[in-house]
Amino acid sequence: MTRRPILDVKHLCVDYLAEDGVVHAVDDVSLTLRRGEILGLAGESGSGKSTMAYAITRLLRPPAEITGGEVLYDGRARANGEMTPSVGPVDILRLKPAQLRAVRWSEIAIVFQSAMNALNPTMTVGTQVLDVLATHRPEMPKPERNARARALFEMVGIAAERLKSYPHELSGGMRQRATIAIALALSPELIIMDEPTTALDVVVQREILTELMRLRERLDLSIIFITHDLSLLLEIADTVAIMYAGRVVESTSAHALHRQPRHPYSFGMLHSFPSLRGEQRLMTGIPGSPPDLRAVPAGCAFHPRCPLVYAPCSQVVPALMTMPTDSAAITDSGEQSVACHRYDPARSEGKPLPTATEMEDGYATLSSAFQEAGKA
Amino acid sequence: MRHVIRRIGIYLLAIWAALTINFFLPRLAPGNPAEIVYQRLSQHGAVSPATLKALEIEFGVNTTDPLWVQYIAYLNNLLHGNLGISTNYFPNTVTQIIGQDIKWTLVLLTVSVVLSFTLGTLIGIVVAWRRGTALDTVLSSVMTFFYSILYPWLALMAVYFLGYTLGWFPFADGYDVTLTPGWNLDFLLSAAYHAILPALTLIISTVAGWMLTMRNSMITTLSEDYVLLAQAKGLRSRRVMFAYAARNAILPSVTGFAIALGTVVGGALLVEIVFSYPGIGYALFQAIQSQDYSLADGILLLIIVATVLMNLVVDMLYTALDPRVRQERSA
Repeated sequence: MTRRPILDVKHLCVDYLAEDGVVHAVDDVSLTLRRGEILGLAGESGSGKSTMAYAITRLLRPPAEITGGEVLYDGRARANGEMTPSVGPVDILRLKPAQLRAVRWSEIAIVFQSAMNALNPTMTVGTQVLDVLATHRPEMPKPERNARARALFEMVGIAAERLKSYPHELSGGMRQRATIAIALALSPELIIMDEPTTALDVVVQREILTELMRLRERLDLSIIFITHDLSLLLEIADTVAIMYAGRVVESTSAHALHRQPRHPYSFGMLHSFPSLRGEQRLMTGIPGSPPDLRAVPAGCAFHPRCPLVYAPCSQVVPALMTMPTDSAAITDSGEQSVACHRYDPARSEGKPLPTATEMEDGYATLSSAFQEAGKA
Repeated sequence: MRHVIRRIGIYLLAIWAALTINFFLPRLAPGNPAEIVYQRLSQHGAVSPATLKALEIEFGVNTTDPLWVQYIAYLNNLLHGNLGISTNYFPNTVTQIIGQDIKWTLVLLTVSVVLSFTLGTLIGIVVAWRRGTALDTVLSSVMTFFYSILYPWLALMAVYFLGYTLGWFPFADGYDVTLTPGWNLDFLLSAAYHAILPALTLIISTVAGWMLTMRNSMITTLSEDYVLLAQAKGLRSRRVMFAYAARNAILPSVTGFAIALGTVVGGALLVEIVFSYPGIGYALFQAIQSQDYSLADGILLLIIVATVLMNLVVDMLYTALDPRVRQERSA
C-alpha cells in the first residue's frame, strides 16, 4: 500500500542575495514525504539541507529568498474543527500570514540542532511550552494547559517539576528533550528535525533517538530528519535524499541506498564510516571539500571530487532520473532516482553502469592523487 | 545572598576610598576657607584678627591637631550628615544648600533620563524588528544625526531661538521668581514650563544613544535560534518581539540606564549652566568658580555615593533580569 504524501516539495529554489551576485543555496529540489514516514535529508555542511528546512517552514530571512517552487502540504482533517476537512494540499509558500501562523506548530513543528540556542535563556522552559498553548488554544482553560505541559514533559522523559527550570539549569540532553516536548505541544502531524542529536554525546544521542522512534510510533508522526550522519539515516529513515551543493543527487528508500548506493557521492559518504563487522579496509572517504556555493563547478558540481568523472561531467548538469529497481524483493520503497551521467543511457558514452568495485578503486586512486597534489 | 553582602562590602570600600581622597585633596591645596571668608569680610571694613581665629575654629582648619585626629573628626562629621559650611553662602551649611538644589536636579534629570531611555529603547526595538525597511533607514539616519550633535550647541540654539528670539519658553531659573515656591498649582505649572526646554534638549541629545544601542543589540539577538523558534511556534509578532528578542537584547541597555541614573544626582552640569537652572550642577559650577571648597567637596561626595549606589542597583537588577547570573552567583 502506498500512503498518501503529506508533504510534496516541488522544484524548490532558494537564493542568497550576496553583494557579488546570487548564490543558489537550494536549486530545483523536489522531495516527497509520505504520511507516517521518516524522510532523511543528508549532506555535508553547505549542501543546503538546513536551508530546505527553513524554506519549507518559511522561516528564511533576508538575504535568503525563495525564488521558485511549491511546498504542498496535505494536512489531515482535524476533528476539533480547527482545519476544515482537507480540501487537498495547500501550498505553504502561498499562505497568508494569518493562515501561516495557524499552520505553524499546530501542523508543522521544528526541532533545532542546538537546544541551548533554541530555548529562550530568560524564560522558564515551562513558559515556553505554555505560550504555544496560550496562542493556539486560547479556549483551553489554564489548569488544562498546565496539565498538558506536565504531560508533555513526562512524555519525553523529563520530570514535570523541570517546567519551572531555566534552560541553563538543564543538561544538554534534557534541553533537547524539552525542545521536543515543545514541538509536540499541539500534536503536529509533521516535525522537521534539523540535526536534533548532533550536539549531543553518543549515549544521550541514542537515548533521544530511541525516545523519538517510540513517540513517532505512538503519535503517528511524519518526520523530516536532517543530518550529515548517513548511517544513522539508514537505520531510522524510510526514504533518504542526499544533497550536494544545493541539489538532490540521489533519492531512494533507505533499504535500497544501503544495499546499493548509486551516486558516487552517496557511495563515498556511506563508505566514510567504518563498519563494525565487515572485513578491514582502508578508509578513504571523499577527498577534497564541498564547493563554495559562490563558485560551484560547472556541469555536475561533484565532478572535481568524483572517481567516475569523464567528459560530459564538467559540461552538463545531470538531471535526477528514475532508475528501475532491479530487485523484485523491494516493493514498498518506490523508485530510486540518481543524478549522474553514468546512469543516463543518452550520455553514458557506452560505459557500463558503475559498480561498487569501480567506485571503491576510483576513490583510492583519487585520494592518493589528492594527497600528491597536497604535498606538491 | 552571600554575593549581595560581598558586593555591598566592595561598594562601602569604594565610598571610603573616595571620602579619604576627598579629605586630603583640599588640604594639599594652598589657602583655606577661613582665609577666604576673612578676606571677603575685610573688604567691607576692618575685621579683628579674633574673627579669623573664630572662623578657623568654625571651619575646623589651621588647628594644631595632628592630621589623623582631623581625619577622624571629618569622618565623624560625615556620619552625622555634617558636610561643613559653605564659604559662598556663609553661614549656610553645605547640607542645607544641597538639600535645596537637589530637588530641582532630581526631578528634571530623572524625568528626562527615564523618558529618553524608554523612548529610545522602544524605537530601537521597532526599528531593529523592521530593519532594512524605509522606517529603519529614515529613523536610523535621523538618530545618527542627533547622536552626533554637540550638546552645548544644541542647548544654546534652543535658548537662542526657542527662548530668546521666539520667546516660547523661559530660559533661566527653575520657576517664575515672582511666585512663592510651594505645593500650589501656579508654582508647579511654572516649574514644569521652565523645565520643558532643558528636558527637551537633554532628551534629544540622549535618545539616539539608547536607540542605537538597543537596535544593535536587538539585531544580534534576532539572529538567535530561540527567536526563530518563537516565530516557528506561530506566536504573535508582538510576543516574539518583546518576550523573546527585546527581553534578551535589553540587558546591555539596562547597565547604561542605571549608570545614567547615577549621574542624575551629579546633575547635568552643562544643562544647568546653559539654562541657569537652580540645580546641583549649577551649584557645583558656582562653588568651583568661587573656591567654595566645602560645597564643591560636599557635592562631589554626593556624586560618588550616588554612582556607587546605582552600581549596586545595576547589580541587583541584572540578577533579577538574567536567570543565568542568578545561578552563577548563588553557586
